[in-house]
Amino acid sequence: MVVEAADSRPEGLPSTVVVEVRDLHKSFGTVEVLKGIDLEVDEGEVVVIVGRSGSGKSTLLRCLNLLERPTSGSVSILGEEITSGRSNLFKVRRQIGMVFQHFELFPHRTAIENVMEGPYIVLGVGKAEARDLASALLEKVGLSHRADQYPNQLSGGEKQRVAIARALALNPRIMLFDEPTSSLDPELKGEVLDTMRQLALEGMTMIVVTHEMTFARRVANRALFIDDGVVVEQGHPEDILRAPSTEQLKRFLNVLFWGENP
Amino acid sequence: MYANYQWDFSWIADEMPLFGMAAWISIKILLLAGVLSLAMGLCIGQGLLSKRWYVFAPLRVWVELFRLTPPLLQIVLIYFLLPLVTGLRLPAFEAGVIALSLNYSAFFSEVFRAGVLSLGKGQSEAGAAMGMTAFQVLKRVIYPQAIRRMLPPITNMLVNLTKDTSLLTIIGVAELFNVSQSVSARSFKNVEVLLVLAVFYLVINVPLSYVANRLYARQTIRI
Repeated sequence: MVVEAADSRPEGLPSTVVVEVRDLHKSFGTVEVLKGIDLEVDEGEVVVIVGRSGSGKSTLLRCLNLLERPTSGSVSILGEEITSGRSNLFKVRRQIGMVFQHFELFPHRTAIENVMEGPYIVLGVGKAEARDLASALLEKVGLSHRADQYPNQLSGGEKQRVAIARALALNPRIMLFDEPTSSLDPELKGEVLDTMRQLALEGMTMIVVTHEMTFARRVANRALFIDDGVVVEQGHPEDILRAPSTEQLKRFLNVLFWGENP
Repeated sequence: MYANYQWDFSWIADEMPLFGMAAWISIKILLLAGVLSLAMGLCIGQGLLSKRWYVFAPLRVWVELFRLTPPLLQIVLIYFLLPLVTGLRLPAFEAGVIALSLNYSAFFSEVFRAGVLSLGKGQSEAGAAMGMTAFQVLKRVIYPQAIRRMLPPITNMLVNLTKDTSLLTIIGVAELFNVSQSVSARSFKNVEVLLVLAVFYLVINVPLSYVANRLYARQTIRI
């Protein structure tokens, strides 16, 4: 019972597919984690992926920039099939920003140096120019005053905002978020989610693995519920998260909101 | 009789130039074998981390071969066996330096491998996701962090290497230990000669060990 995605885009705008996943399978040893995923994401869309832990949602996200190599199936980014082996992976990855659950800031570099690293090393921009770009991005995420601090001097929420700035520094077309608020204390989640909402409003294409249902309902255009390696239900978040049509999603939401199995 | 043993260090002045030359040879062995084994260890350690079996498997066998057999045996084998097998006869100094380098590279490769592994996958994934090449990830992300953890074991190994330079006496390299034996034979002052020899090793290793301890202390404060 798969519900078609609701298209919330104003009519008349041409849509460009920026992510296209076809029949994606991924096994770790004998365990099949993804069992045939199809997904298309249009430019400017915000897609949230929800599901139980171990359902394969993070693996799906990690297949999009080939941090995991799919066992079979294809992934195309901006029209280029990256699973074919002929594409320039390094070039494709520059167009995809990624934000991790545990931030993964470089601890030996200051906040601004973390943000400079992409433009300076990967894009080959001059150091002064990279610094200007980085300080503009830190300002955007509200952390100009923390530019010269090392990651271990920042709070979790600040670290994640620096990580978002670092990903944005490569001027990506697509942003991937892998449970960006899961390792944050409740009172720190808000600042990260606000930053992400801002990004969505600016038209960034975002794919977000998250348990934040409020964020999903208010910001996302589409929610994807993955269970046991397949897309069980998808549609507009308001629709499927309020009135799930499958038993699995009903059960998942129950556990999420009330912490118990019905 | 032992209680009134007559200590005699009068030979020192005459033998000092010889000891000095021998000390220089020992230091040369330490520096050459140190640099070579670190360079080899870095490459082998990186290879051990490879996911491809045909890269890591032969390297693993190679490393275990040198790690699990006595260095003395390796020195003798390389000096005497290599000419038999290849027809190439290396001077004792070169053969000894190569043997020590191979032996220590096996241990250093483990230090480098463990140092990289101690960082966890997340850091290299963060670099890779930004579009860094594998080399850029190592240079910009992994090694600047890992080197801090590797320095104490590396300096420890170098202290050991200083002591192991004495093993080259077996193939007749005129390093400190070898020369001390000649001086003993000439002066019949075996005990005094050995004490002077100990001082020479201490003069090399005490500063090295001091640096190691300082680095170790600095690291524990930072993290």
